[in-house]
Amino acid sequence: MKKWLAQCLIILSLSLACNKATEIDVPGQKPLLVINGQWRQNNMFMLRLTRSRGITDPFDTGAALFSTYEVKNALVTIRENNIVVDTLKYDTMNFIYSSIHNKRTKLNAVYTVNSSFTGFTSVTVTSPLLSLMTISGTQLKSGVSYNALGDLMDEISFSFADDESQMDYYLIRVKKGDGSYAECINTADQDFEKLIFNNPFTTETCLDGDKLLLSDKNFNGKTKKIILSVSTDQMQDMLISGRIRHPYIELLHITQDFFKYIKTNNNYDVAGINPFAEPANIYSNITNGYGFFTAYSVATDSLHK
Amino acid sequence: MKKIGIAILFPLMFLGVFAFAQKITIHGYITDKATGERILGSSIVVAPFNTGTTSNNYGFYSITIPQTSDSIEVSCGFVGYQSQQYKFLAKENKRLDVLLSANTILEEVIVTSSRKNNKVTSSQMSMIHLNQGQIKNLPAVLGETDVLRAVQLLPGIQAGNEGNLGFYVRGGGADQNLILLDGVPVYNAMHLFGFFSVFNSDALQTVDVIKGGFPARYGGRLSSVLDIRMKEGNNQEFHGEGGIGLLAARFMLEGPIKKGKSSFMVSGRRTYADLYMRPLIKSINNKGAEAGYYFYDLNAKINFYLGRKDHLYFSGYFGKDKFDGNVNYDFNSDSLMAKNNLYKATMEWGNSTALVRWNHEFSRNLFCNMTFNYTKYQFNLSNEQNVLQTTGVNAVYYQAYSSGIEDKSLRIDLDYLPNPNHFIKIGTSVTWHNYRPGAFQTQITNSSYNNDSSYQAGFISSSEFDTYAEDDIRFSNRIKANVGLHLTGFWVRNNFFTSLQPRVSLRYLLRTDMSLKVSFAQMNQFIHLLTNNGVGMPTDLWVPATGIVPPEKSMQAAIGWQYNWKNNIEFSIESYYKKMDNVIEYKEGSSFVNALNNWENQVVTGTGTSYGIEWMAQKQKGRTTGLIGYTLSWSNRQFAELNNGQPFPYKYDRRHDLKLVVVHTLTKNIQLSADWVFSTGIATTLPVATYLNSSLSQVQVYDQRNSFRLPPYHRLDLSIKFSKQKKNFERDWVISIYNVYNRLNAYFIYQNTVYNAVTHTYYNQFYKFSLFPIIPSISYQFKF
Repeated sequence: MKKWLAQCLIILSLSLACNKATEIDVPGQKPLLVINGQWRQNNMFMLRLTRSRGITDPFDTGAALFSTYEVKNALVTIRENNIVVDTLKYDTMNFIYSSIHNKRTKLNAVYTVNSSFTGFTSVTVTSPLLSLMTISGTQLKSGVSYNALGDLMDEISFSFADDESQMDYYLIRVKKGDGSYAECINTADQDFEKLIFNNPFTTETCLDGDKLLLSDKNFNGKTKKIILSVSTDQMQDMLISGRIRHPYIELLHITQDFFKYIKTNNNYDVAGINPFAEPANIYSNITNGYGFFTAYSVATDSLHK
Repeated sequence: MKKIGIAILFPLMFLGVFAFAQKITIHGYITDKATGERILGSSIVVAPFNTGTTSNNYGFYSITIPQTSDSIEVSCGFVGYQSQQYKFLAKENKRLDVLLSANTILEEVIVTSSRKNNKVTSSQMSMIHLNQGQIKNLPAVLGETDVLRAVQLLPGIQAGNEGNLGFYVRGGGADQNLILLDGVPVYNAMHLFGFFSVFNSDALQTVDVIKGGFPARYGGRLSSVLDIRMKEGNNQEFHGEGGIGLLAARFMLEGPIKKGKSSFMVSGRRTYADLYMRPLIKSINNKGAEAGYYFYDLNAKINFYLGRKDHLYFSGYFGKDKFDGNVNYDFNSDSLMAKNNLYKATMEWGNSTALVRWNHEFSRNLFCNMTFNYTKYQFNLSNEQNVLQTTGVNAVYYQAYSSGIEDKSLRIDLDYLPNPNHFIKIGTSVTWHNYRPGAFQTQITNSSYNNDSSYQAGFISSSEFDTYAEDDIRFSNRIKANVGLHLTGFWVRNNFFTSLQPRVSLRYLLRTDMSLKVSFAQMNQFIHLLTNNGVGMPTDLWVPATGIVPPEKSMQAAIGWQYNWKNNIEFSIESYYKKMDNVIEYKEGSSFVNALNNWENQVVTGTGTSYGIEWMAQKQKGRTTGLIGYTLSWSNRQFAELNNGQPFPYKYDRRHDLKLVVVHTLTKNIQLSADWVFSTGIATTLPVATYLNSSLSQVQVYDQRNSFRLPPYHRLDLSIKFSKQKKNFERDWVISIYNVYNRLNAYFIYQNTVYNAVTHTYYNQFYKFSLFPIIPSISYQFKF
């Protein structure tokens, strides 16, 4: 009897001790307007206006996915230095709102986007287009060192003068000859923002070529010299369409909002592939809505050996 | 300036101690007559002077009284023991070693709480004492009772996720609990991802849980002290006990090495799921794969009486969890590069502690305890791939990761009892910490390439010193206080942190059975735990405070009322407010997976506040014993870089927490026990909306951090024990049911995309994942 009871309990416990999933209700959120746009100097006014959806709202997949977010024929006005300069029209082919007057951005102007659509709360966002920086003393030294994995490394160096009057934020991009971003860039410069990595097993603490962020808190009003180390094989000239293309650098003068956006966007990307990660929100500067809008200036210089 | 003032005034408080008078001192040890083990916390009362004291943690007591030509009566008692009275003339100093015999009356044996009226009369508040009997009487899970499961049933202590033994005291984190085994810190107290603790209940003697009003002798963590003491070992005769459950088997043996002079206790426990899992998995996978998991614990303690004044202890704990598996593929096609591929993975983790303790009685009223201890936690993960290529060459790819922490510590504590109005404790310690946040090794060996590379992520050493002084002062029959200071310093990477922490507890006796208490304690913590969601993963990393991630600090004030009704039912109400600084959280998007790369950059520091009120009624005598506890509490966190800088609820902020425990002795041989817990669901963060970003990818928007609550948690456990005295031993059959009414409590919430066949659309549906349904179990226990 005792043996039978013990056996029954063992079988019962093994069969029951398994996980179960049951549905629970989570309240969604009412839809809001979403603005996405990143304007550099001399760009035509152009942005994407969509809507958000509650997390449990039904949706289609594939090509129809965009239609569930699409907002057609909303009123989108652009102010330049607080004066209305344009109204954007919806382009049904490209799903974007753009200037039909071919209006373009100007350096040192402040842009405000207002948008309204029936049934939605109006949204607004403002961003300055900051001054263009001047890159000087650009050098690319070939094969100056080896990294921990034994790869031959080139050294990129250049300088720019920071403006003393304000807190400035910069984004440096290192691009290969074909325009793609260089990968795994090393620097000993502590002014660069340390981002969360998505590869825990890397022995390198290198940065991606489109995420070299820094602020001027340690060099406000001074000339800043940048030294970067990139693997030699990424810094080769390329023959594209019969023309030799050099690798190059871009120095973006960005807003604090853009700085936050890049950081949080990186966090979001990393969290997306890590089931243990804390939830991450992408920074939004849209009042009463979602998305991100900014203007920025970009200076470019090519890299020659 | 305030700190300097306190430092100057504090020693002055002790001056009254050294007043000269004609006095005699009675001192000695209180010992269990049957086992020879010292009894801590027993009361000693000298009748004509209406004064008394209690024995210290090693059974030593000392009481100094005015010299008199009359005879005096000294009575000594402890709950569960027959009290002893001694009469003698108080003309000169006297050594009085007391042997107490356990009560044989049924209800006294059942009594599992500790000291008569001690909770009311003691200046210590926010402390709960448990003993082995209490822990073993609770319903078991898979045949195993657990000290941490018992701790979770106390008011003011929140449980972590379902089934997990992590505990959260008064809004603090799991890393803010100082868990001591015989005075040695245990860094990872969990087996099997937190479902069992490393403490084998057969080896335990007593457990003290301190939630606030910390005496100055404790330091190093913000929120609680869990002081677990192992049995010393019976020095009179051999005894053993053990059990076999569905999950594990255990055995404990104790006895004299030399009767009355020395003893030993050794206890072991091992799971045996691997013994049937391994062949089962192998047969299911047609011998292509196998896997197994086990954990074991080994506790050992020996002690020697070296004369009447010296006592030497050696104790140790060794425990390990190990998971291993391998997969073997055979490739029959000759065209493939590989003929055979064998993949092996191993994950193991465990604690080791060792201790040498020397008790010495310097004089009738000065007792010294010197300790050297060692503790280590190590986590290892490795995988190896052996590929037998068609060329006949065997290529080996090997990767290993390890992390851990190791401490060595020296400590001296002195107990000085100059007169019945003072019980002074002073002490100092130095600890050398070695942290290994993570190390990698990669080996690749084949016909053309041989590479062995290691990567060490910041091996960090630090030193810590602590010194303290406290005095348990009796100002009058009604007013008693424990006043102390804890000074600590910490060196790490050219940083030196110091902290001076005042501690005060005050008791006002309203009646002999009722008291009011207040306390204030400042605490400091030089160590952080990098963990995700407190799941109790072996990957949790202990790291030191640094210049970038500074030490955590807290201040806690509490007020309480205590009443012992007819020396049977204890009622208590306590309210507390706690403020914590420099608590850490992972940055958004970060986790322990990323922490290897510059962990200081993966966390943010902020503040925490918690406050609440705790009610408890505990019945200690009779055929039915148990407790009812209810806690109403709030716990919040605030970080500049999280939740837009706004305060948000702590993950384990449970507004309501109700606990019921009942143990009923039906007959001499049958005992029933039950516990029921109800608590507000834990806080979590869920997405509330989606939108498209600039590259037309869907992005999820999370609401305010921890703004969503999981459904309330509640669960009933039952247990019935059938005992029988056999010829040479006593045996118990214990049948337990965990989660009797099969409540599907949420372990976590996840989302899935679901197709709606009616509308031909998709939608996101959230699910709660439940881990444990109803789990019946049976175990066999014996004792001789």
